[in-house]
Parts: sequence; structure tokens; C-alpha cells
Amino acid sequence: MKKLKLLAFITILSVAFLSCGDEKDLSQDLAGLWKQDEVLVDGTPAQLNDCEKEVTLLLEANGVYRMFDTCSSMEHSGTWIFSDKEWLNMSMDKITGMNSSDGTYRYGQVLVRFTILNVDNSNLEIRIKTTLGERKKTIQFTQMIQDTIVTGEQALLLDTKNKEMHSYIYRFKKMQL
Amino acid sequence: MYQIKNAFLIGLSIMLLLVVGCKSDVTDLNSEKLMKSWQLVSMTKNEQPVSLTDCQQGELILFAEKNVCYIYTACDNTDLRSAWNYEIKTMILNISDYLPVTFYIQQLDAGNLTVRYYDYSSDGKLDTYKKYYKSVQTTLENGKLRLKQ
Repeated sequence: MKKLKLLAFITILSVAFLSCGDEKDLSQDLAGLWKQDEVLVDGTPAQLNDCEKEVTLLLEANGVYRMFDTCSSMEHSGTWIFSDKEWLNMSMDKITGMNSSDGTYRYGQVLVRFTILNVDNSNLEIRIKTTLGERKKTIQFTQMIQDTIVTGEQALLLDTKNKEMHSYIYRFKKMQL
Repeated sequence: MYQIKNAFLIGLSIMLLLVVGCKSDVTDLNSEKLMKSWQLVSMTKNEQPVSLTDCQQGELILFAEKNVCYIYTACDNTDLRSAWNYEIKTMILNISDYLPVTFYIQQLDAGNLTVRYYDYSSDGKLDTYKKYYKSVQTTLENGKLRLKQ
């Protein structure tokens, strides 16, 4: 009888621990103000200019984010959610066209899914694998210079380059709010 | 029979633990204190007082039932009907028309409401604002929120 009770106790404890073990929510760690510190493209540090080093990302606890691209002096906002143990899902602005009247860009929102490589009290490291073309169109913290096509040959070359897959790692430092 | 009863109890205990131990955090809404009319009385930016004009001090907000809120901004004489929700766990107050600006409730009692929020300046600096409200009596007619005379 004692053995049965002990077995039951161990079973209950095991179930209680195991059933909750997979639900580590990183949302609280992710929330806060982050400043872009480093970008790696295919493992190689990209040369960031001064304005790129000033890019900040504010992840608020209600699932809303705001970021300021200091290079284009534009604020972008959307929603974010943590899911599946390691994903940071963000609705991000993507260039959909240009207004011919004033030359400004039109944006739509797309879902962008980053893999969280590391997040703690002071560092955030996320990675995305995407094509260069997608990276150019999507405002992944800074807006890249858009393609200007002059000749057919250039267009062909750009098209090939834009289809190449790359790995982008973004490193942020946590700022005091 | 005794063993069947034990097995049943064990099963029940496991079920209970699973339900209690793993239930998602339920949003604890304690919105009653908020559900009244508030008038803006003062404001700070990065802890420095911001001087408000008379019309700015006329800003009114009523958090009503069914997550509807009414906002009156006296300076441009506009009336807004919006949606709101308050999550006590994070102390976050969302007002749909003001999103993505997120409000954090700093103080809430019978007569006072203080909210904090962040906003980017044109050069990308993140400023911290605090708005101080007092509880007031208002009237609401045809969606227009006004101070009760």
C-alpha cells in the first residue's frame, strides 16, 4: 500500500513538472527598449553607419512594438508575439510601392518570423533567413537603399542577386526606459 | 475495489494538477476604478512639467461599459468614441485610437489617475510622458462628453 502511495506521489510530481516544462514564455524578457548594436550577414559583421547604431526598438508588454529608423527618420510600428519556444513574430512594414507625387514609399504589413538565439536582461539576438530582395523591401529595423534599374542587363543581375538567400543576425542591447 | 478507488483518486489528482498547474494566466480585469470620467490637469515630459493651455486642460475621457470610451479634446473641439481595455497584471491601458501608444497606469484611486507613456521625438529620441487626471462629473449626450455644469 505504501509503495502504491509513493508511486502515486512520484507520478503526480512528475506529471506536474513535465506538463508545464515546455511553456517557458520569453515575452517578459523580450519586452523593453532595445538598441541595435550589431548586424551579421552570413556570419560576417556588417559595417553599421552612425544612424544604424541609433536604431531603437520598443517592445511593449501588450504586444505592440514601435521602432525608430534614424537613417530615414521614420517611426514604424506593429505587433509582436513570442511563440513556439524560440520565435519572435513581428508584423513589419514592407515597401509596396512609391507615391509618384512626392516620391515617398507606400508600406503594407507582413509577418516576419525571427528565431531568438539569445535573450536576457541585457542582450537580444535574433536571426532570420531570407532573400536579399525581401530584406530590401522589409523594414527590418532600417530601410535599405532601394534598387534603381537603368538597363536590362542591370535588372537581370539585380534579380539574380535579390533571389540569393542570406542569414541576418540582429544584436540589440537593452536600454533603460 | 480499494485499489480501483485509489487509482481513481490518483487520476483525479493528476487531472487537478494539470488544470491548476498549467492553466494560462487569466487576465485579471479590475476596471471598476477606471470606469468614470477624468480630466487632464497636468503633464510632464521626461520628468519636466509641460505647461498646458486652458483647452488642453479641458481634455476629458470617460471609460464606459463594454470597453467603450469617449474622449473630448477641447483644443480642436473633437469628440471621439473609442475602445479601451485595462490589464491589471501589466498595468497597461490600451485605447485603440491612440495605439501604438501604450499607457501604463502609475496611480489609480478614487480621485486621481496617472498614466505614463513613451513617444518618439522627430530625431528618434524616446521621451517619457506622464499625464495626470482628476476624477470629474460629466454628461454624455449624442456621444459628446462634457463637464457637468
